[in-house]
Amino acid sequence: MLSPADPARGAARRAFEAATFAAALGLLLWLLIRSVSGSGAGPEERVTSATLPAALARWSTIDGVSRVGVVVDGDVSPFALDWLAALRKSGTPAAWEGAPAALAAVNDPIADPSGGTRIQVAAAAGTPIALDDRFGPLDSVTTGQSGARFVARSGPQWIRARTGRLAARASTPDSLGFGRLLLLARVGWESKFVAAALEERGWQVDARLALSPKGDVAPAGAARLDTSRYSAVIVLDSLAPADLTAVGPYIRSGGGAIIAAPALRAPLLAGLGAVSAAPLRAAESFDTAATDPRGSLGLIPIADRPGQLTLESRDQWSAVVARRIERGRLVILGYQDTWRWRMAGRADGAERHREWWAGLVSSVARVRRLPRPDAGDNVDEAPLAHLVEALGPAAASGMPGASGRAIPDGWLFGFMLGFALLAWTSRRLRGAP
Amino acid sequence: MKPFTFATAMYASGDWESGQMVAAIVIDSLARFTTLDLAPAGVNVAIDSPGLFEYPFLYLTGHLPVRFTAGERANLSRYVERGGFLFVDDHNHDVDGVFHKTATEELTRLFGPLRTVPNDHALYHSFFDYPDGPPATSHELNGWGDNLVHEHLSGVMRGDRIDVLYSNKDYSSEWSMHPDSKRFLEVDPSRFSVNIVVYALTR
Repeated sequence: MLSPADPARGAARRAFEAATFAAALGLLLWLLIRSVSGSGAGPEERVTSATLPAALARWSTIDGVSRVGVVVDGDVSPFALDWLAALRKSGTPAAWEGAPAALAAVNDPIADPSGGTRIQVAAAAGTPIALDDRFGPLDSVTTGQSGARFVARSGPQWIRARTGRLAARASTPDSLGFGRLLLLARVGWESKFVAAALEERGWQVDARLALSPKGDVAPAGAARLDTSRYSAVIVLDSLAPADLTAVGPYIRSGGGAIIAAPALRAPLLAGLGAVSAAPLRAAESFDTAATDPRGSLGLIPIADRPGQLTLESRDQWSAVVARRIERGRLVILGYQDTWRWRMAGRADGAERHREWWAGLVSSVARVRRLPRPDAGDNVDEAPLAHLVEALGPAAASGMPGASGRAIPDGWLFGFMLGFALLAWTSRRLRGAP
Repeated sequence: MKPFTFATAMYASGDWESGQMVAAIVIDSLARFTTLDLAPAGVNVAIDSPGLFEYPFLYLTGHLPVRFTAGERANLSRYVERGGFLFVDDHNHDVDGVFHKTATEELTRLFGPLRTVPNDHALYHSFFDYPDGPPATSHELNGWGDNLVHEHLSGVMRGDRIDVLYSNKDYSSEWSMHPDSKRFLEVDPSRFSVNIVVYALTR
């Protein structure tokens, strides 16, 4: 109870009560106006990449917003981007800002029965890239002028390539169906060890080998050379069996081929490539400490031709070249007796020889691609493009303010009740009605 | 391309050079029956030398005890592991002979116990057909040595593939003749060598 001797405090108290009552009334009016005018759909919000997932869940439930903005300062999952795009299409203006690096990644299975994928990342030169799969980090590299390439022998179905801000996610779009390999040669160590290397790698090799006037070595029930059965043909010399007539048409119809330089002497294959007039590079004794094992092999230099790409060279001579012939791919090999690398090379010679031959075959092999039904899950090969597609270009202006979220209606209603209760309590305590 | 070269193993113990006519007669048979690209003469190669790996086919024989050195063992083990084919023939044709006992001990130490090569193995059909398994030698049929006709060859095998072929049949004696002498025989006795070489080149 106020004493009559304290009129100043009494006036202050009445002023306080009037102010709290006015505030409660004002908030009530504000809420009424918002509900009538329809402007109460929610406040504007500005979030970062890290807080976006929680904000999306909130925006999509009872606590709607009128306009949203995302500061892209980190990875945004494709799931969140799709959600934002849906929010935008349902009428909530959405914008973004930031300067994420342009980035794209693909994860393509290698035509090799032992598995593996070839991962290519496109980004500005000098961009640090970290690569991981579902089980953890795989590798990291700084991109060069043509991006970055990785070979993942573990064959991850899904990978993520991260820069500082965005991450590209790629999945192998399909699995591969392998045909067989056909090896045409005369019986010799090269045919034996090439077949062995490729069989150890997982290829099924049909070898048709010239052996004697009595007959050739051939698999039982061998089929004719066509793209439905064979992924690639390997021709090691010009004395190979009579199937040489089918090699040219097979390549033109989409098959892959590896032809060793001596085989180009066969008239049926002469049009596919040519050996150089340069003299044969003689084989040398194998130096088991040599870092370039193919340097000890004999070499028949390959002649340069238009449309031909040199894959390997020794000194100024082309040792391995590749070219397209209509729908097929062809590799011409100048090295001789590569089996010596496997037998006489370093401790890992057999493994390196196997890998090298498998790499050659995978570069030309024709394989059937079988789409994976689940390939689209959590995939975003080009995240910046996806972001622009979902939300448009980065906002030059018009982003919600940086002040954070506006006060929601529930809180305003609570404040109104608080003010009214405060005014009422104060009046009751001093005995006013 | 390097031609096929018949290589005879030189080892420190024993008499590695006891089958010096074998290379010529095998090369002769290969030239008669096949179109293989052949080196006209065989080579002798020390099994502890790096040069061993230039010859993926290796013939080893002798009469005397065989004890490989550590270097020979290491090289031979690596040679077979990398795909080299080793053909060992007991020049004594005697299961109680010292070559047989010591050579099989050495091979067992390097590669594990020898297994019997079944008589329907691809080796017996790789060029000529031998439906009953390995051809008998005149030494076996005349009762020399251990007075046995050995029914099987044995070897070190990876699955069905022979890495090391071991013979008690004394082909080294059977094939120790001048190639020109074969014209006096009804059947070339070294034809089986073509099977062995073709098998080594194709499996």
